[in-house]
Amino acid sequence: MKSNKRQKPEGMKHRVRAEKKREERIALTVTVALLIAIIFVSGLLIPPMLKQPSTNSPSVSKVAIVDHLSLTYSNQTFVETTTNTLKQAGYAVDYYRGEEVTVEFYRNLPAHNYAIIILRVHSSATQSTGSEAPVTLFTSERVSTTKHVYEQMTDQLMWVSYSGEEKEKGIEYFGISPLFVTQSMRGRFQNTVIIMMGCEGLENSLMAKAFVEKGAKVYISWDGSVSASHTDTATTHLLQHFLIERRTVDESLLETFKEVGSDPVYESLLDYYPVEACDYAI
Amino acid sequence: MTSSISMLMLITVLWSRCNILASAEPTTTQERWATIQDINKDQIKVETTSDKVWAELVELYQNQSQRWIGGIVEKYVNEWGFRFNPDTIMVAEVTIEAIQTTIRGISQNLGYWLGNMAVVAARVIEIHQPQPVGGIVIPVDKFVLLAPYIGLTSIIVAISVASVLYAKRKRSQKA
Repeated sequence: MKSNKRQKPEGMKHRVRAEKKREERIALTVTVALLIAIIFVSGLLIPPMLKQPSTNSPSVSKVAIVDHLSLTYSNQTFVETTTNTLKQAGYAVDYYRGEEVTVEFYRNLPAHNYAIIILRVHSSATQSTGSEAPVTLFTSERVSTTKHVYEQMTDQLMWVSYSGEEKEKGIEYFGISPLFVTQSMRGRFQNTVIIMMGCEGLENSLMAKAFVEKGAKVYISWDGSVSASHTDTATTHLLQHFLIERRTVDESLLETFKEVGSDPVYESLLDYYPVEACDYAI
Repeated sequence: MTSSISMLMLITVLWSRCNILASAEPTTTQERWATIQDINKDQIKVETTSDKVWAELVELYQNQSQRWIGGIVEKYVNEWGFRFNPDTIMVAEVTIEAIQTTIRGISQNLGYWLGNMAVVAARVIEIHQPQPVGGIVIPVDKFVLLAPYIGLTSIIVAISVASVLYAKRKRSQKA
């Protein structure tokens, strides 16, 4: 009897203890599960900009030709003429084909310390609805809902398409918005001259401001739509005046306008930002 | 020796003939052009250096109206052997009868029309102008973007809540 009386309270205690342990285990499991969920979700959304920027040593007098248009409007004559002009002016030239123009490419662009960046890219400041959008530079990277999630959520990356028909077919690419330039590009530009040859680059000043905020000296682009042939011709003339004749930004643009005029179809003009860069010369 | 020279001459003649044939393809000098079709369904490309005339051609393409379209006839390498000088293109609703003709009429009587103004009653059936290096910006569909994460989080939360409820229920049963 005695042993029975002893056993009963011991059994109760044992059961209570076991129950407590079990609850503790469940609580622990739930906590761990929640932590895993939080880590998993936040891990995907952590901005890659928190990563350490690469620190390339400054390279003197390098120019990048970012030829995204090589995918749709290839112009070997332009590439050769421009390369010759740049070499004549004493620059080393890095040429990037359209396929290389990805989100990661843009992210690391300032780290190369280019003196001049020639963006021969598709760009747009027009939404599919026809309303105005921030100037967006095209990449050749197809849209994915599992890549660059944080940048997509924060409007640093937009979706872009060459036309309404292509959009209907689901052919969409990532586009670089001004927010990406200021928030996700690694490093800073070192007084870089940005020549943005695409459409509507100065339809609004958001992209220009973003580049200047990131360290660019001047941002030159079109105030409306432009055809590939006209932007190629105008840029060739502009580089001649700016780099070979060593004229100021303002003079170079004026001379270029005298020679090639506005775009014959879209009537757009080359312009620059900020106004303070008018007297800037190489 | 003679046969070799003859062969060489023949090759040269054939080669130059090939080049002539190749250059007989319809060509354009401007970046923009319109194809017009006259009352006989004959077609010819029309180029213009004038923005005003170009705007009229584009409008005609859009509303599919018939007008008198023409210019000063000049020799050109295309299937008709002529074109309207791009600096002289005119689009009109009414013209004098003396200059009215057809594409075929000009081609068959080229000697008469060369250097003179001619117009044909035609519709613009095609417009070609260089495409801009632009595109469209599409706002990101954030719901589509977050859907998998919302689903996953919901599942984990549901499992957690179910576990807590189960544990509470067990404990109350024991008590």
